[in-house]
Amino acid sequence: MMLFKKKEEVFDPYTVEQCNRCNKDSKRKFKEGDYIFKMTEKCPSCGNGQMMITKIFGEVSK
Amino acid sequence: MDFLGTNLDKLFSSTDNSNPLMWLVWILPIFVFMLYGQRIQLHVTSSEINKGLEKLKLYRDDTRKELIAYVKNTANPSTDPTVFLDRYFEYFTIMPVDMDPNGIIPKIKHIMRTREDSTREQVKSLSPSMSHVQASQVINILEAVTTLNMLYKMVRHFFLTAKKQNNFPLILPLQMMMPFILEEAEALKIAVSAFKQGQPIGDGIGPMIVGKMMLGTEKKTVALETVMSEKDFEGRKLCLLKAEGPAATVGRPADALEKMISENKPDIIVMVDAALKLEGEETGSIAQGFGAAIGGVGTERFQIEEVATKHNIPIYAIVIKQSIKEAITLMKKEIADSSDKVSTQVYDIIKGATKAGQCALVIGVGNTLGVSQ
Repeated sequence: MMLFKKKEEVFDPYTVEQCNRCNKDSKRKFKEGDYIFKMTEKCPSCGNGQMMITKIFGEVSK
Repeated sequence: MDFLGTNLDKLFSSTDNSNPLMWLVWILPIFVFMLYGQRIQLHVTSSEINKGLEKLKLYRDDTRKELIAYVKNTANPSTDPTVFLDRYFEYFTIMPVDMDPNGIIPKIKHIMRTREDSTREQVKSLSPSMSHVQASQVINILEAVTTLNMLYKMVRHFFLTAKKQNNFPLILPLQMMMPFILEEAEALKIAVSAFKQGQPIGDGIGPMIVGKMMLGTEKKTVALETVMSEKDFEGRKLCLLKAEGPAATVGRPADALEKMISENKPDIIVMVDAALKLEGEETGSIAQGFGAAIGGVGTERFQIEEVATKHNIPIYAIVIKQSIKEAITLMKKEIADSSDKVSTQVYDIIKGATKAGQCALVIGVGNTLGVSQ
């Protein structure tokens, strides 16, 4: 018998990208095909750098 | 109160010990519990275990269906993979005889390697169009479903045996273990979703840290699904080793170390891995220590310890704490956020334990799913 029932947590996956020039980072929802250290697109902020995925993690959905 | 001529207040009066009905009300249950107590307890416990068993069956069936659908949709196999997959779920591994444990490690390694190689070949043969990363994901999901199948069958065996023989003592350890078994089963079920989508899991924190250190260096394959690169750090040479991502693999770091030793002997080894936390410890907390930080059946650890002892190389370890569930499911933010702190600690160890001109080997241990380099 369970004495303490824990509320089930559901995690949403997020991807964090960072520009290799201006170091600006952005967080978005995870897309299939994302992996850590994947070069994605040009930096929308400085326009010169390349965005790279630095982190993929799960956060409790609200 | 007076119902049908009976005074209930008088009937249950605590001061009147001579009432025969009162005597029966108190004495009868004592005899019932003395004679049938264990059976009643068995019945209550059985219904609890049965609920857990139903859950295990559901997890196994759901993950099996998910795997079959995943293989059909992603790999487009020429034949129906259901027969092969169903056969695989029943695969077993017979561990070597341990009456004389001398020389048992190479035997275990040989058996485990046979299983790994055979599984890899069989999964790849399902479809020629299946990529290396997809095949590794299928292998990991297969392992999860096989473990769930084994858990379900073992629990069912003990449960049915206890019921068949009305054996209450046999059911007690099962009742105690059930929450742990269910926790692991639930983790395995959730893990399938991460494996399917190629998301990094908690165990991937070691490869993630070393993968970051590897960025911008030339990588070469040194053992099966294992890559190594070199770079300079404050006059020291760093050799960085991890499984080849973003496939779902742990690589063969011990083989890579053995190969590397013959060409370039490191002065220290630093191993970065995920470790199981104790209840109450914070997820993502970092601990530093000594010895080979690597899990599995123990053959890799044995091999690394052997090489390090033979060549007198100190082994340092940094572990990132997490629960079993966190280790095999989508990496939590707290774990991912610990990477910078761990990197600093790795560099601190290297600075403290080596001098300029020396070589340090850093191994990122763990499943590198969704983590490149």
